[in-house]
Amino acid sequence: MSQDLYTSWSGARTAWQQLDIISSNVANSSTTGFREQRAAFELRGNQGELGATSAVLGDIGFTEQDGSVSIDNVPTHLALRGNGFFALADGTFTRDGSFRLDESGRLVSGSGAFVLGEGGPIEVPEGEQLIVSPAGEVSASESGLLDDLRIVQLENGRPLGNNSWEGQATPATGVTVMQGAVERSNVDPLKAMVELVEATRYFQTVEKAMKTSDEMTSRLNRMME
Amino acid sequence: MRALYTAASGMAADQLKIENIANNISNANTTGYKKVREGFADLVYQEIGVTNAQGNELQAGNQLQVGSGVRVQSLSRDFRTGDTVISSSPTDMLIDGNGFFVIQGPNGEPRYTRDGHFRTDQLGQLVTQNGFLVSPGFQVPEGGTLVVGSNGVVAAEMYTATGTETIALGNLEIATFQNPTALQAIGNNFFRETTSSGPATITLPEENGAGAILQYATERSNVDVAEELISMISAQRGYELSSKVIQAADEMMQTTANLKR
Repeated sequence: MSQDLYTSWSGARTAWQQLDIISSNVANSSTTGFREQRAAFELRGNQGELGATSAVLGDIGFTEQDGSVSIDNVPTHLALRGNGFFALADGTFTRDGSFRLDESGRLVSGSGAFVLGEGGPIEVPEGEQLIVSPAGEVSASESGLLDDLRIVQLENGRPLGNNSWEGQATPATGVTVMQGAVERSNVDPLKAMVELVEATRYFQTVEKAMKTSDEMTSRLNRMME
Repeated sequence: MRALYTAASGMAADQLKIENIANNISNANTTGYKKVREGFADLVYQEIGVTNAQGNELQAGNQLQVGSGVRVQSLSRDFRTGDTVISSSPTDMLIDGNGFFVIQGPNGEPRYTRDGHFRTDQLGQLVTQNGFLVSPGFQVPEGGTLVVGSNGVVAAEMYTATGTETIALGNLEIATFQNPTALQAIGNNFFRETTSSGPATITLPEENGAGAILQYATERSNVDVAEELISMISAQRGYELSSKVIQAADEMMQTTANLKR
């Protein structure tokens, strides 16, 4: 069996992996605060040796560009501009700022975890309005300044699903907060469609190469009869 | 194969979004209706790459992960006040600000509503359109006209031979909640309290953050049809994009199947 068939197969496998990633991005094109995944493929093996190479998935990263903002004027909805995350009481982080107040006036995330300020969960006194400044200072309409939002930068950030992330957190710089708005997904549907065409065409090319390789082997077999 | 199911989750979420938009739009003229917004969240991520390009195993936590789709995480109600519609009926009123009218529902269980389009029944009692008493109960004497102050003081004005006579009927109650978005909608413009909405705080209008009462007016639905149509277009396109991914996955599977002649 010739090695080139396996080389082609590795290419077909990367096309499937690329499709998986595009599929996840497209499915999340309406998910608030979602970050698009990007795959990088690499060549494995010795390039000098003919036929001993294969294509593999090298890395999956995330597009850090801010998604567009959708203004809805809900006072508990916050959008981050810049590379930062909100810290939550369950130890995770999120960019999905569609928060709400719970029955005792604490600010909670969509997944139900308390949103942290520098001094713990943020609690809005009953009957008062939440006010958040662009710098992340949280105040209530009558009680005044309550706390500062804990906004962090993530190193080796990994998504956990449910719009939450984990990673090593360090205080973020240059991040501003917008009140009454949520950040849309940063998936670009147009780019996703281009990638989709690219992946399917690439797959067809690889398939041709596999067929050619198969034909050559079959001819060789007939010659030896 | 994963791509197929991931894309299917996207289609399901967009379909739910369309269903919700349909409900909002059909209630665009419902008095006191509050629109519902859907919140999406990504599903768990699965490890697909456990070795790096050099073929070395990656440690847990550094493995390459790919997302597995989307789900609807929340359907939350937007309680902002709708526009005011002026009416000529004295039994029409709205709450200008926070709070809900308290209604004595079936078996005396309290119901809460923003719909102040009331009427009087055969006994002269102030009731909702479907006949439930407005708490704590007001009886308008025959021939009397209902007068409601902005502070919720309810009275009846009677025209007599000597002039007008005002009969005090009581005070309107307003319920406020710490977390109104968690109220349970039960149809007929009624809401019911839940554990996460917190208990109702019964107060008087213009007190403790509750809004003032405006008579001869009702509150229009806060649905903005233009906004709904825009979300509908975006949901429809999202659905279409996901279906294209399914198509691509299908084509690739077909190509694979054709490999073997």
